Amino acid sequence: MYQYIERDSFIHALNPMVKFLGIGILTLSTVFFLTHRPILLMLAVTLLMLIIGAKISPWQIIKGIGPLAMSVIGFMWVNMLFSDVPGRVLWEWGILDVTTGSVYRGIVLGVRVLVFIALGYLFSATTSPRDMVVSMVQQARVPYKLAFGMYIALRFLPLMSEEMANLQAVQRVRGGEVKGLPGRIRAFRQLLIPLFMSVIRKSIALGIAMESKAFGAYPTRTYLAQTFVTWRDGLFIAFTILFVISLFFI
Amino acid sequence: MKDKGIFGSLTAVDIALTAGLSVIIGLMFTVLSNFVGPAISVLGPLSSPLIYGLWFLGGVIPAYIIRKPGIAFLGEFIAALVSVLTGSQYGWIVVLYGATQGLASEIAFMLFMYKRWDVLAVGLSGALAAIPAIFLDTYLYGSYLDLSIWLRLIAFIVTFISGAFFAIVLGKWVSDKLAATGILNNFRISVKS
Repeated sequence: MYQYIERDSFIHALNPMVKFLGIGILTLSTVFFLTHRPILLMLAVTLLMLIIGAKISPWQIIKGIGPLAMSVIGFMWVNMLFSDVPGRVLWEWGILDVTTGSVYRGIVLGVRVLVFIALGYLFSATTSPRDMVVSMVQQARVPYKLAFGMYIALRFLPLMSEEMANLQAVQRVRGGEVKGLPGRIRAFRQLLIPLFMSVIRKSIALGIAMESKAFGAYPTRTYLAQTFVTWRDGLFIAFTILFVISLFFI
Repeated sequence: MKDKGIFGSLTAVDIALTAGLSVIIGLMFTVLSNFVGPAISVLGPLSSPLIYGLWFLGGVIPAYIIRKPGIAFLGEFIAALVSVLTGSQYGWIVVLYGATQGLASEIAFMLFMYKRWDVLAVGLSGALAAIPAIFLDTYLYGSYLDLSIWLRLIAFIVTFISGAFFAIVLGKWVSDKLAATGILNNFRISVKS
């Protein structure tokens, strides 16, 4: 379910929040570019970071972002149809038209979305969810109540899929039929309220357990795991900023 | 001893419940994004505003049940995080959407001083979340960039209405149904004022 791939690499060793900051800067800076050169350069650098910096094989990258890249194709084609960029008209139908300009715009925006996806994969493939939450409190100074909320959500996730399978089995035993799309929609509706009920019951029990151990009694907490900021993080951020600045000059 | 700040009034039970609800809603986000998302990309940029309100429920439902400051933000944020971790096709950028949409929903409840929890407040919290969503869609994805100003305005108004509609029809409805079972008796949703 999680995309985390354990490796011993430069990118893996970065502090999760610093990594998040760097990747955030890269992601947001794509907004400024609507031409092919900076966007393609960005894609190339992201892939290099994945393959060399994080030691993730090209095959794994394809497996990780391939299914998501399907949306890029849809995205490209929508932009080609609906954008109004001037250029030589290639095809026309009513208010829809495709010009050379809109083909270019569609491809550039599509690749831009691919860059988002690849950057996101770079983060989730190299960061363990546990370290991310710990670093959120220790480095980003996020209130620990918020961080614990996330932590609980992470721990609930596998439980939830189990619960869902249970509920589906229960429905089947009682003769609930799942056939075709209407059946699926009905089954989903019948699943929703019991699923909510079971989650609420579990959450309340967990909350009471936490309270009985004095959760929230002190403004700070201690943690089993620690995360640190090292020279690698400085290097990474410096590289990120220099790279983004240089994109404006090519 | 209570610590100050936005999350000051939250107990461990509130946080655990928000997290639990957000896991379900986040899973729903993932399913929506990955199955309905491609349909939207085929149907064009004006089809997504219609169901956009479904993506704002992560803040509305927990906030409507627990009725304390900070829950709308926390709920939408965690739901977005869950959606990323379970493989939403939009990736990590979803967290930015979650945080800003949650903040917008939170502002709606804040405007009513966390005292009103009727159709108006819930509707507004869904509607306000449309503002950051449209803003980010325009500048990150360029979704409405090439549309004329009128089409853009229509897309915006439809998203606004869709946010209010789903917040009331689905968010409030599901929460009231759950409260009717008695399981939420210890929360403010079941306390008649």
